[in-house]
Amino acid sequence: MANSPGAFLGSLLVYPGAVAAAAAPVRAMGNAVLGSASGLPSGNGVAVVGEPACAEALLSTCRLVVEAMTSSADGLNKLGQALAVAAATYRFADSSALSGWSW
Amino acid sequence: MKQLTWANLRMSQNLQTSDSTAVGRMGAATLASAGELERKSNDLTALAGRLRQPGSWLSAAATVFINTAREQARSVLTISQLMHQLGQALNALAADLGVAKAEAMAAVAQSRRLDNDVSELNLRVSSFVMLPLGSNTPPGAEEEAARIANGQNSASVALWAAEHRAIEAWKRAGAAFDFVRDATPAMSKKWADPNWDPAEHVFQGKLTALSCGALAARGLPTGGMITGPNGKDYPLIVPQVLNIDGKWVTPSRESPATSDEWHEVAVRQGVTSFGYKASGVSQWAVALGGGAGAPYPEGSAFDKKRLNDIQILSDGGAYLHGPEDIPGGTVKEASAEAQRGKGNGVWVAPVRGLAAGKTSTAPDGIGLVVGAASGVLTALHLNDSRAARYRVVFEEDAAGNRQARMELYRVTNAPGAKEGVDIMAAYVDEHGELAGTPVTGEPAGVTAYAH
Repeated sequence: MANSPGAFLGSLLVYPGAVAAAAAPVRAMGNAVLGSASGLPSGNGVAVVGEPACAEALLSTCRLVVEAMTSSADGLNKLGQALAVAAATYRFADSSALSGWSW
Repeated sequence: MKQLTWANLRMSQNLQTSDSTAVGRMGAATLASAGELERKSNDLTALAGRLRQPGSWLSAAATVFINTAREQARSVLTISQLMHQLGQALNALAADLGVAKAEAMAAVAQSRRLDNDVSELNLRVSSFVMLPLGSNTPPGAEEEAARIANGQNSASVALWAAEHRAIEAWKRAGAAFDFVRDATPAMSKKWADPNWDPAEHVFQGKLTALSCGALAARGLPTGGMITGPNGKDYPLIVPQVLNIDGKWVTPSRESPATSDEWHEVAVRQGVTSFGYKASGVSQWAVALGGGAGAPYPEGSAFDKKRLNDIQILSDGGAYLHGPEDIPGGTVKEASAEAQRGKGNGVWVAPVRGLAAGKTSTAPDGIGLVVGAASGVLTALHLNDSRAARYRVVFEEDAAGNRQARMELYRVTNAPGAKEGVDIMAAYVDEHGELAGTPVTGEPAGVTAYAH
């Protein structure tokens, strides 16, 4: 990247898409894992794992991992939105548009 | 000859319903997801790097943005590491369940064939025309019955072994799942709960295999348990090591042997206040007479104001930080006293993990560990003459067994002696309250480890 606001703008323009691309699989993976695990029983149902306590441990773990993924995906989306606004407004202001966002 | 009965061997419902192929698919998908997340994290980190070139102009807001982006990238990387461990555990479970179920099915099939043989033999015996003065058993029936019985015994043993393999696999997988669970941000916050007080989470449980030679040798209660901030119960053990000089000692410092089988889930340090209050003089005397060790010299006192000067080492040792003190040089054996109390904690990131072997990347995840130092609570404890520092290590093994070790630290002034750190191993007394027993040495050429 060159040492100029213009070059910085160029980076900003590609950045939102990259951030969104990073966020999408995080959320998708989380849903996929939880979707797989949700087939496991929480009571007396049949589990692919076979043993209820082990199945419950897996399900509990998956829920927390997915929770972390969701949080991470939300954070990435927020970054992407901030970048999109900054890139769009760059010609009229400067990257201080980013300061309007609370991280 | 009597009619034989069918063995009617069946595998357990749990093993019957398990689906190792489905578990394997879940593992493969999880590992693939972990790899994808890692790549995305790397991409994000690279993009953040491109925005911060040496000499380039960036507004303050853009700098904040880049730092935030990097933090997010690290968070994604940590999640990918957790998923990698989860995927490995699922794959291991799938492999074990696959073998166990195949062995169980083979045993059941063998048993069914033998049950068919039983039916045929019973038919032969029942239709056999007994001759006058002759045997009522067809020729060769006794030998056939013995063969069937031996075969059924073999099938039963094989089925038992298969079921045992599955049970062990579930235990190992459950432990690995729990380890990943404990490393998630939500659980990290629980581990760092500033309101968690070790003295309020100990109790006397049933005697377990993990509890506890060192305490039994001193005539102290061995069934102590501590409930961790994660809500799980851990037997509170006091380890012993056999030094090269042939002496068993209760150390404050961990020896290499302590990490071979057990893996740290979490370590907490903090300030606590425990020990008998003034009204407990008679209890003090009882405790001293009960084998807890030698009393402090007359005129000894604890210096609560210097608690914050205690430097606790990563292996559990400690020294007193001060102008005249040399690290490692002021650790001394603790004098005897049974002690009790309350406390608050400071999270210390685990350094070893289960799924990744001795070294785990997951618990060291960025942004997942939240410090929980509470200046207010620490100050409250420092107003208590029973104040002390503590360090507790929560551990699990690959089979899901748990244990915890805890050391208590105070600064002691004894007449004519240099001020130093007293280190005690924590246990739970007969009243279900936190107590301390002196450490008796430090590891030196350790040849054995026990607890």
